[in-house]
Amino acid sequence: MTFAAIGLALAMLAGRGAPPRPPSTDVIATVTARLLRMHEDRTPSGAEALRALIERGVPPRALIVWLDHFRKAPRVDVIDILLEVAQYRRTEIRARALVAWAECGDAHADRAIALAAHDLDRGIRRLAITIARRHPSPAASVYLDELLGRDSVLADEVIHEAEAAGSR
Amino acid sequence: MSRAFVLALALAFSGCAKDRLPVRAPIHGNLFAESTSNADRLRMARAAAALPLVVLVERKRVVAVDPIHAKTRWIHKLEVTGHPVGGARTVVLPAGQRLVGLDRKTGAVRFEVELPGEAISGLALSEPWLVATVLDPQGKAPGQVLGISVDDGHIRWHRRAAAPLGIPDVVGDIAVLAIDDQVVSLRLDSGREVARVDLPRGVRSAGTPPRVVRRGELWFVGDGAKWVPLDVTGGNAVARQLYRTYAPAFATSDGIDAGHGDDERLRLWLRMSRVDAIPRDAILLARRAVIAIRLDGDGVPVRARWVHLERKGELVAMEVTGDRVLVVREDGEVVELAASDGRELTRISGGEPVRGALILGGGLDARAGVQRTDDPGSLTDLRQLLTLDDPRLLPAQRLAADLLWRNDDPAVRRTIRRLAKDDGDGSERAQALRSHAASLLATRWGSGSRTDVADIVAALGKRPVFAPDGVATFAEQIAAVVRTGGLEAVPELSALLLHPGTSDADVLAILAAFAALEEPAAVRAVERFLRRYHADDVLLRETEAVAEAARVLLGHAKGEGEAAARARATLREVADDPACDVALRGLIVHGLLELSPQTR
Repeated sequence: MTFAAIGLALAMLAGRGAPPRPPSTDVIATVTARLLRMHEDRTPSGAEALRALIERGVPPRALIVWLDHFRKAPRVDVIDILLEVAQYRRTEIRARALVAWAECGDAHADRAIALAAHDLDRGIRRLAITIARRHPSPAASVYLDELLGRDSVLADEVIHEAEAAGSR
Repeated sequence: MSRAFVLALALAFSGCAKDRLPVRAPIHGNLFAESTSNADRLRMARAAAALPLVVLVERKRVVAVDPIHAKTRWIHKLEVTGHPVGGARTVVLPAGQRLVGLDRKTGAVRFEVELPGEAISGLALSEPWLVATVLDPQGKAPGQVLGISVDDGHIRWHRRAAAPLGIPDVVGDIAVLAIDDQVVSLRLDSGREVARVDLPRGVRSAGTPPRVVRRGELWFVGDGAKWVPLDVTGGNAVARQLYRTYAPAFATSDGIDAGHGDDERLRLWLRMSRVDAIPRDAILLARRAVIAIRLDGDGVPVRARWVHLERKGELVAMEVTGDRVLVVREDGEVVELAASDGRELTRISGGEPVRGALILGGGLDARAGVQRTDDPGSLTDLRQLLTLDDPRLLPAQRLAADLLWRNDDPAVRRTIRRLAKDDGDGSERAQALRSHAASLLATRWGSGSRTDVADIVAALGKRPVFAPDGVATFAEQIAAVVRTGGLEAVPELSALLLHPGTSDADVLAILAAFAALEEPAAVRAVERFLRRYHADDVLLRETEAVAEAARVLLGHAKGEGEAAARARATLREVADDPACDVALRGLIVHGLLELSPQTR
């Protein structure tokens, strides 16, 4: 047990019952900077360090910045980390992870579409359509057909939007 | 005239089947057709009507005790060397190669007969016929079987056998016994062979002939803890065996009936089903302990019905008669227990030390009138049994541990988790028990069968995905796996815990299940969950799950072993992270401070 934690204990005990607060901006900035630095280190040790940091858990805001950066500068050697993040319970994290995954190549895009198409959140299922438009492929078409056959509400929305776009 | 000459004359004029009983002869006849008859039912009814009797075998005499009226009915001076048998009118006592038949009611001698051969292998009685198998390695054939009338003690027929013979059983008009790799049935009145089948594969003899017994309408061949039902084809049945070998259920001999021995203080009595070869109930006699158990469809003990423990002295004999269980102690004390719930009904004090006992019951149908309510105190009795420091009780303690592990309540199973870590007094018994408890942790828990657990695990293998008819919830399966499951359920629960589509209610239910199960294999998934979300204030506001994950890890952190150490390391790391939510940190630090300094 570190002295820092013990020292914090007394202060934290006084804060028991307080509603959850986000980490301080300094902490988020520090973690974000580390994530981006590790992402740019394209060596195996850089990948290991990135993996270890994300496995330890990082604030969602730092994750979001990293995922946006990943989309612009994909790294195939850390796809496994993306898959882990794609299981995050919050949709905004999951969505960014799926979009970033799709940028790693056509085969990865197909898998990202397949995963998105079965998500419980309709926004993520709609994202499958967006990703498929950006990365069209025969497999993507199959996944979309299956999705729209299964999700009639989404299918209706898509048709309605297409009609509205057509009439404009 | 010498006795041997008289015997030879008697055999010569017996006028019945004398030709040698062959081995590995062609199968023929129908064992079942020959073994049922009205005469059989009449004989069994007469036996049922006879007064129950406990024949205590002391060193130089036998004492017949009426357990109902607590009276000694008769005493006969005789040094009994083998296992006595009894029927409605007669008790037959082996003394060397001599058989003495006594009147069951009065103890008066009805006959005495000298048998050929060197040693008696076994006896079976179905009045008015007594069948004896003897070993005769120096004679013209290694084995002999004899049919004796209990009306006058005369040998009516006798056949030599080309191999040693097993302990016989008699039903209806036939005697059935094992010879080499086959079972033969002989007519009681003539010794003529009427049927022969091959021994089922699972109990093929390896020198020692197995035991043939009749239970209800079924015939079984058994050897120790293995048994097989006999059918007309004989050879194709697969041997059944109890999940664990607590004690022999079908005692055999090496060809010589050496009388009551120490091995009889460890026995398993099975109540076989009337429709198949699967036992439903069993009673273990283990020195001082008697445990009645219910078995599941796989022959695995699933719960204790009652437990009886003698404070002093070992039990040398046990028999189930109707709705009673009679046990005899080595000092001759006779105890009668209710078969339904183990209540002590009577206790008759003993006298001289006894080597064993023949217990003759008064009930035809062992199932008649038996209530099936278990003793509610049986769990307490099982726990208490585990604490006794008596190496003789180890077989009973192993069974007690198995039964506690098969309980659907995780709080009851916790006893076994504790036992698996407890060195006790460091004795061999304590170490053996600890090792046994540790082995149980890797097996399925609760009362469910293999199929039940497989079904639950398969249901947990589904993942929450969007479907038009709604999203599946797993509450029922999660609750079920807490009651009964196996280690294969842990990866499925772990995957559901980490899946983003699992509902908050199910996540909390999984964490509660992990807390109840205390299974170290679950720690990794809970660690991942806590690490992933410990810095997510939004999620922490929406759900109690992250805090609950910390509590589950704190529960594991109290223990020892690799999983506990990892739980502590994860908690410290999470609490040390500046990004960790403040309230969550407080919860973790407070929990870690409550650990003992050595554990912390």
